[in-house]
Amino acid sequence: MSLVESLQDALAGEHAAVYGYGVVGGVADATGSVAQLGLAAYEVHQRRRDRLEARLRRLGAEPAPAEPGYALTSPVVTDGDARRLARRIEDRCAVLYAALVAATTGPRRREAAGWLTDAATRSLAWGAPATALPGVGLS
Amino acid sequence: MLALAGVAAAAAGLPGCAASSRPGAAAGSDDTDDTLLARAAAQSAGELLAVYRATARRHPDLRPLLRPLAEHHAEHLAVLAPDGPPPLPRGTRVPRGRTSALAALRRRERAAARSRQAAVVDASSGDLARVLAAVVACQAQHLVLLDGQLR
Repeated sequence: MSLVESLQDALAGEHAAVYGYGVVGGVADATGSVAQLGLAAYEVHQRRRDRLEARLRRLGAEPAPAEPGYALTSPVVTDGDARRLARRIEDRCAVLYAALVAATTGPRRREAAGWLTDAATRSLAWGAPATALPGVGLS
Repeated sequence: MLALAGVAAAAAGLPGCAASSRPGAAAGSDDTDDTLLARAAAQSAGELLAVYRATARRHPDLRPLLRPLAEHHAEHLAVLAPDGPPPLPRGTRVPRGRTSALAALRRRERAAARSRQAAVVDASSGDLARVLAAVVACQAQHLVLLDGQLR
């Protein structure tokens, strides 16, 4: 997979993550841990989205826009639903970050690897079990 | 998971794997370096596996926590050294105190993760880098879980 394709895939993942964490934020009780974790993650994914867009532009590529909406696999009503959605978001992003690690070198690769580690620990914080090869075992 | 075994080794051009089938792969020092990185990662996984097992033997109350983590290191070993693991170290010393034992595990896990972090960037093969980055991410999860017990 080319670098631009990997970046576009990761960007598509960030668009979906930002949308998904918006849903998480809409569910959460404003003082709960779901709200706190969700808001922090929302901001992290927004920053990554912006970085990926900027990088794609520097490479002369047009960053793919967000979809108008994203289908949720199940209704997100309770805090438990929100946690499950957040885990899915992080696990999905982990796969895309792992692909980005393979497609990059040097400091860019270090950054993508950092994102992968972050997705793995965030998924854990959302209640997922630890896994042997985050972002790789799933693909 | 089995289908994955050997990915890192193939990427690193370990014996028995068709490294030359890798597109754009040039036989030479890059392959050799990746072989060394994969071997060092396998060695480290084997050492951690031995320490986790020894700690679980010495501290039975920690077994529910440590067993799955040891299993992860065994999986790393299987991916990084599919042709057979390096010999596991014997006679690992484990502190008698539960907290000291956990802290010792944490130190080793963190040191290993730092070495792998450097290897992610050093790897010539993107596939090897991906596997090593996943190993680091797994180890970061382990550190969180060990910290949770140390608090």
